[in-house]
Amino acid sequence: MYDFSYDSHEYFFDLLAFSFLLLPCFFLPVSALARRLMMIVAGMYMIYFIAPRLVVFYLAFWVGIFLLHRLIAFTEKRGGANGIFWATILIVLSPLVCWKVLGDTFSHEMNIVLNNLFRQASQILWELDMASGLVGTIGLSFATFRALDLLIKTYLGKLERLRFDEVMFYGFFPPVQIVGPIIEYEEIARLEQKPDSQKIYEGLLRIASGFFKIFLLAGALKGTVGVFGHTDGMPIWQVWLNLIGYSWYFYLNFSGYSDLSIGIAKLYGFDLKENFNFPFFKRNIKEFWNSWHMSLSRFAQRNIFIPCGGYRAGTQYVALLATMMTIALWHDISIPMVLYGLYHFTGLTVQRHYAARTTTAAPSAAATHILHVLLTYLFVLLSFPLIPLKFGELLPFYKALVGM
Amino acid sequence: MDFIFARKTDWPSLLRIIFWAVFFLYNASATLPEVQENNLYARAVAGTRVTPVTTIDNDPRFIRDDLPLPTKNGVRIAWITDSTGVIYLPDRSILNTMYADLKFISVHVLKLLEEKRGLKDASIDISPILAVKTIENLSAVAALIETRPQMIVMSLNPTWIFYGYEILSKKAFLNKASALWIKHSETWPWMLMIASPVNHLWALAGQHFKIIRQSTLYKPMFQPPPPEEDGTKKKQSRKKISDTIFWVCSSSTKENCETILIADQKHNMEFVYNEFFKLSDPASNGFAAWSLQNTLDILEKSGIPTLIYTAPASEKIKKDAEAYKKILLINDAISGLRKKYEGTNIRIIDRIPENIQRSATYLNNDNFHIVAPGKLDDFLADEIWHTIQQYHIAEKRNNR
Repeated sequence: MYDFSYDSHEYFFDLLAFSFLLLPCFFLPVSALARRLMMIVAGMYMIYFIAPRLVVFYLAFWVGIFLLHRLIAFTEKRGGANGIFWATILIVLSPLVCWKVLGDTFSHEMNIVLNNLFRQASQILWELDMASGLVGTIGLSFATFRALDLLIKTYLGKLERLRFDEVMFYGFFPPVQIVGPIIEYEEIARLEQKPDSQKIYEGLLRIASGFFKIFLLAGALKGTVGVFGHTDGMPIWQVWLNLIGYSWYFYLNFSGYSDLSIGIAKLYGFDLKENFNFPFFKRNIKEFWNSWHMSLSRFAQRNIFIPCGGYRAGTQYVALLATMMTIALWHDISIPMVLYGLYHFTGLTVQRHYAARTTTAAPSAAATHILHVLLTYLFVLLSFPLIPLKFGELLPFYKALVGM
Repeated sequence: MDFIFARKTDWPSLLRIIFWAVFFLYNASATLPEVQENNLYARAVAGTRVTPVTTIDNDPRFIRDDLPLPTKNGVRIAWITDSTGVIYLPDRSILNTMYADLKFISVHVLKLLEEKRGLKDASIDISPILAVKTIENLSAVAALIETRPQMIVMSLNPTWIFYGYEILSKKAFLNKASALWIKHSETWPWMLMIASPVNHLWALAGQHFKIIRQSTLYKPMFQPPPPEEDGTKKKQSRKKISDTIFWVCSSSTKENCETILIADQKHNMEFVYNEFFKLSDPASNGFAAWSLQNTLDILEKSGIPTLIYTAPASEKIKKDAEAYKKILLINDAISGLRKKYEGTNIRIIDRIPENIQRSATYLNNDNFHIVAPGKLDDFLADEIWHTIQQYHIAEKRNNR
């Protein structure tokens, strides 16, 4: 009924245009605090152009995260630390869970409540806020997991007590606010003093690569999204072709935005970790998950898989299930995503059994390698409909894949 | 990919990249084939001395590139209007009307000036931005002022001028807006608050590179139009509800909101606009009021004789007592502005006489959009002639 969607490329266009001013200022010989403040203001300003009310939302969010971070650090060696930690996890997850479960209702109320705050404060700001249109809580999934990572590391003693400006810098770091990657604080902890021509060059190339993927490659495949829910009378080969096209559209779009984030960060001297590594060309499902949305996989590995005993024989499968369900439900809290998590858990379990029973062999012949890659891609491909479709639409679509 | 990404570089190399990028933009701009401008109003103005000068909605240039301005010799009038300056077909709502079906009141007015007043060399450069909101209206004024007309005519749509729930609807225009706003100190705060960094970059780059400025015209070459939906798909898809309806609903009761939504879906614009009216606040210090004030200040500073009139409304508006009361308040506010600008280059008609308003024929379920002007064109022609006489405009006519 109402449209809460947002074209993420608008954010990146604004950020790149703003970088003409921000980049020279960022490398001025001023203190690290001043430079972090520049980035914080820049991040907020970029969000302002999506919708001023989102600035209020994320300001409250990250101020809250700072307070929780300090609370955890304060109670670290005191009684009740455990309880406080788990309470903070629940608090941080609650906006995301509400959004995923309530969907448009949450977005609807969020827009009204935050807009009303402006109404109380200033007529002009209120009217300006309405002019930006309706928005969903863009970037909340990424922000929540970044916040969780910060708090978990604080609890485990892996991160020292951070200052307010450091947490806000992490929260409002412009390149990753909207579409990730889910970076760790350590990736941006160090600010380069001087611009690096090599990094600027690499950053520009990466940005160009991102735009090429998004506008040319993914843009050409955008029509394949229409296959979902419209397979009546469609021949089998066309359904498969559209599904393959969609999988590539999804990958190119997502990895394209990651390229933009990583490229822009590189302009400012930050080397963010990679988020995609040619995932459709991997030989097994484990390699696939080590190369698809790697920032989320890394988060899940260090914060779910390892603590749940992923490297212990007795608990590895429980840990694996918990990990895959976290990854799946991060996308959406729905039955299709539960199925998605179970599906990939099954694949990974089978792969583990197979790997455990196979001795180290000589590198496989090209034909075998290609066969493994195709089978892995096919396995992953069959899970793609679970992302856009509702539960009731799944069976008709899978029937269409087999001509029923 | 290492041969690209692992290549060593230094600062002169980066400067070289920038040089080649700029070089490409200049050469691409110079060698671009000419593309015909979108002239969707060609039929409406064929054979007349009325020229639509503004670009269409998604084209951010504001003024077309292909028009030598001034467009004509003689007395040049810039006419800034919205859908209230347009004549519609009687059997369609405003949302279902094609551009080719529209006519302009200004064409009738010009004909009357020629026939009754002997003004045979008058011409009108019209800026018809349908559904124009307060920010776009100011930007249109700023753009048309740059063409140095002898006179400006501007219509005020009572629905939007004090309506804070939607101060901007055509965001593509922001790409040019900052280039206009920078010339008027009243709008400098808007450069930070409304125009985003990419808007500024476009405004700057568009002035120098035709390939950027005219990118909208070349888009159809690279992006084919979306496939036409078949009938079954059309039935399944629901009409997206506009953001302004959302905000209006958020200020209404649940029952009223449902009524507004149904009216919007059925194109019952009379009801919908009445609801918008009720939320207008002439006494507020909001953006809409600020924008109107800025518009008038810019017009005053330009020194160009200006006639501003409030668009007429149908008698049907009296059926809704609250909406009618609000329109009277709006008229009073405009009347206050009229008095404020008396003695300057700005003449404001705060309310078109009732008999003139009644003489026009309005669309069904609509209080502001007309299908026949009645005596409105005569009235406006007389007022324009009066302004021309008052400010001796004919003596300053353009001669090339």
